[in-house]
Amino acid sequence: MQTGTLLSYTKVWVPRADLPTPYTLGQIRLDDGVTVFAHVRELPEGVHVPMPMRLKVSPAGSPGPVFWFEPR
Amino acid sequence: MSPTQAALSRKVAVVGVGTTHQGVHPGKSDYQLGVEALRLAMADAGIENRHRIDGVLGYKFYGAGIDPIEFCKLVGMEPRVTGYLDYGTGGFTTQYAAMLIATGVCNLVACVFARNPAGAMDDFSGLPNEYDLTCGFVNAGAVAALGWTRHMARYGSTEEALGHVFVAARKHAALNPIAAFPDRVTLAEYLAAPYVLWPFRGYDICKVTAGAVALIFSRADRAGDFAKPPVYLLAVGRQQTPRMLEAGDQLLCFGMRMAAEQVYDAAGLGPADVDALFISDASTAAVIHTLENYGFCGEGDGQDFVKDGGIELGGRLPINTNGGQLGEGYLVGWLHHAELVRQLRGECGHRQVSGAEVAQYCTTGRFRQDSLSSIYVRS
Repeated sequence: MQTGTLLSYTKVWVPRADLPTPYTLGQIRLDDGVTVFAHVRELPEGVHVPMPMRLKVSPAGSPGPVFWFEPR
Repeated sequence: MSPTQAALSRKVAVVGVGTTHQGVHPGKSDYQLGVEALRLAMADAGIENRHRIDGVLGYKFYGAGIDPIEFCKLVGMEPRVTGYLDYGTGGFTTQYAAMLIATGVCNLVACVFARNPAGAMDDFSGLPNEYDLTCGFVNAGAVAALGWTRHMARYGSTEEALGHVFVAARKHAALNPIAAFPDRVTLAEYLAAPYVLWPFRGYDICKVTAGAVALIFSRADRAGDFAKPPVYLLAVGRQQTPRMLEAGDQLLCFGMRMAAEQVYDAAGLGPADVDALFISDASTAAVIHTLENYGFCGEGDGQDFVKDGGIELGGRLPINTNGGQLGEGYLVGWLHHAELVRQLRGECGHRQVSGAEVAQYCTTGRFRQDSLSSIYVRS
């Protein structure tokens, strides 16, 4: 499933190994009903949830998260 | 009314409470702090012979904690029953104590919580979990932050609302001689602090603290045998909602509504009857979710309720008169129980709620998948 809805999110400054801060952690309901937690990028300013999202997957072998979501 | 809730009504009373200073305790073990708190609680109850206590409950949290058998060896006690809950926060453990007494297993149960964590006063609570490794899901604080973002989106609530909760907590802590964080903070200072988990600032999330608390529960029909007036457990409500992380709206703590219905039904009381409210404030947002879901105000109206000193001493409903976990210390809900007993006895001095007769405690557990509330009364 490539698309879903951002239900909520938080921007994180708490340091964690291998995760440069800040990053945005979102709760996303995929269109088939499954809910996942994942990074979210390219969010506009302001609080706008629920918001339609699209799954993005990193090219093989690149550093950072394997997948994340962006607004669609 | 569920059978369990009815069985606990007025069968059990708190007869002794003991608390150490909260904050840092260099060089002391958690067990040592626990012994100090139990001694204070026994003195408070007027219990000289420790062998009268026939039940001792400790606690565990992800494997660490006070093992009640080891604790009893340390203090030279051989109670009939010892036990602990994993995830042994205050509300869940006191429900366990009440069940031991109401079912006739024990007559007098001491509950002991103590910890002396690394990073006391500085570190946020919580442990990394399975989500943390892949996407940086930062303990329970992230759940609370996600819940508040949703609250802001749905109801137009503001970060100032959280600030009012924090200012109240620190004002109360300033009146509490055992508080870990006795310094007042103004709303302007709150708003000037940097974010750590937007929309939360560092102030919005509890920091771990060292300290101990002990609570002694008795059969209600023998509760007059102790040094101080008993405080009776009137009702408990509890409901687990294990799909919370999957259902978006559940981060708004709607599971609390079922615990609310149970506890008020069993007590024969409602929110308007509560003189002092105690909320397990792992985050500031928990206070507003609790006010709304227990019916102290309408859905989305919590941000107005906490304004203008509404939840401070002298306000329409004093909340966490001890300073709560954001001000007094973070002993996962246990300290609230000591304070509510002292409030109902009228022992709180400058922070006394005048004429307090009904006190309510509310908490959630396991990332908001478990909701509990209990109501205690003076007579």
